[in-house]
Amino acid sequence: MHFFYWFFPLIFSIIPTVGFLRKKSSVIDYGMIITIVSYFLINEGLPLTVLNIIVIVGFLFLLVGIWFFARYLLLLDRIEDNSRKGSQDEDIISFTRSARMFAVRGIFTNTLLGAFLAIIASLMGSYSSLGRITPGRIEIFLMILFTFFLFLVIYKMISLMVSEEE
Amino acid sequence: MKLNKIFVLLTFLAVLGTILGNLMYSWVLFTLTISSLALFVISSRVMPSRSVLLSISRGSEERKKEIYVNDELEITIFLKNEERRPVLIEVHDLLPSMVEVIEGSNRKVIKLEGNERKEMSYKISCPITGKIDIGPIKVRYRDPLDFFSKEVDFGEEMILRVLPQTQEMQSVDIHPSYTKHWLGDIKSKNIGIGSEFFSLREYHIGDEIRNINWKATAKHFEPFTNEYEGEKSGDVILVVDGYKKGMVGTERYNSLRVSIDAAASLASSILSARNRLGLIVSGEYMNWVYPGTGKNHYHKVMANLTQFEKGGSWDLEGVRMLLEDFFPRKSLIIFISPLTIMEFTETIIDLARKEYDVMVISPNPLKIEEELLGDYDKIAESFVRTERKNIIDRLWSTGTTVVDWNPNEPLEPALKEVLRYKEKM
Repeated sequence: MHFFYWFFPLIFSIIPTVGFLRKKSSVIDYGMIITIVSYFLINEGLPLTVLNIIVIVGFLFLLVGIWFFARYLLLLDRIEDNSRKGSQDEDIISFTRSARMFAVRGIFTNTLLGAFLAIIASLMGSYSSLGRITPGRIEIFLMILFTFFLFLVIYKMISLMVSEEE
Repeated sequence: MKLNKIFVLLTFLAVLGTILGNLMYSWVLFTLTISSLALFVISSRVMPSRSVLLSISRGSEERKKEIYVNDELEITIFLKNEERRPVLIEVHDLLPSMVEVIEGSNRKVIKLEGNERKEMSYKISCPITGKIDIGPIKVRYRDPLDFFSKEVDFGEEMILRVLPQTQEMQSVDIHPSYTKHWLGDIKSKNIGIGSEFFSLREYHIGDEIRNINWKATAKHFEPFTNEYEGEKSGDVILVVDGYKKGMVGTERYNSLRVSIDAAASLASSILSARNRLGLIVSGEYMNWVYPGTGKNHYHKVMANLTQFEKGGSWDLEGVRMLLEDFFPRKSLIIFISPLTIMEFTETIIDLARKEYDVMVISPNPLKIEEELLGDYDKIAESFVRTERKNIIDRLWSTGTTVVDWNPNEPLEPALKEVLRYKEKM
């Protein structure tokens, strides 16, 4: 039965593909979220090893990279359509070339750095406390710490946005 | 700064990972939270800074510009990236819908390397008169992961005044029947200051030396002086019908636009003949200029012609009151109206019955419709044509000169023909 669950990410990945072909960014977003969540749920019972962490995080960032790239292509397409009004063809070609190169490089660097940071953080988290060494109370404490850190980052982003408007 | 949808979705994934991880005691689901956090941390590295990282300015420092209808104007924008890292920005110089971009584009996506300076230029033209605000320049910056976008307004707005295109009207002699004392181009049939020789008379003390006719003086052995035909000028008042309900045509080509073009051409011709020119434009507001002469006055008239708004809040009684109480009597009043509002026609008839010299230049609304639609209902057309003919006949019967003008053709020949007909009468 568990073998059957492995097909879930593959089946759900059809949704973002259709979204990309139909140029609907919201379909891509929701399709990718379902695919990522289903991918994590099928891996739920895996034992905690370094290799498993690397594979899971690596594959997640592959999905995230594809997601960002697909969104960026749609965004560029939209900007290109707007710029086309009254513009020369040469402008569009040069813009598309430079924008795509810029975007691909940016996405690649950021997702790669993100994956690296996520692997380090996961390894540190798991080997210092989670499951293997000290189960129970420390595990709960780390969960609270992670949650707190997450909300702190969100709060910082929102406060930055508010101060910008002022 | 604006957080984009992807940021919200990733936050949702992170929260979901934390909740499911807590519930299921699963390290796999916690990696989802850790990965999302890692992405937030990395993306904050490329977040747009709080201070403005670009300097953007317009090529021209002039904030106010004047162009004529359909003239081209090149707009240049200078962009400079003040930071070291490259940025990809969307630049959009806001333009009103009536402005046409004829070369280049007012919207571009530009990549600027660190400290790089670039120039963006495009050409515009405007097919209709009026006051136009160009700008501000909107610049949008996004980070590569599209988590954040920042939109900043740069550069001050540029005010563009689009003046109506004037037609040459040199061969048309529009002059008021009643002249005033000041110098002009109208032959007064009296002796005065002018350039045309009238007669000779004996020299009187005080006569200018340059007016002495030396040939006649030598012949008669006593000094003789030349006398000239006096050239005077008068007051002309242009009244433009800007009532919205009587307007015929589309936003771009309508009776009001052609009326303004005609008024501009007439203003130029009247002022060059050294007459005093006044203006009343009745639309949403009543714009008026007291009679005057000179180049500055011409600009004042043009500004009033381009700035007014079509409408109909003001009663026509206001136009009549203004003419009777503020403007000089015995002036030539030129109404420019398609004659589609009965009250306007009644006002003209009422003024013609008083001591005003009245002329009507009426852009034919049927010709405007014909130009725009091509084909229309023949029965309706004949009704409107008959109605218009009746109005014009009624105006002629009150002593008003009426120019039934086809706006698709120049005004000068139509005006010339009517003035010649009037002289013969």
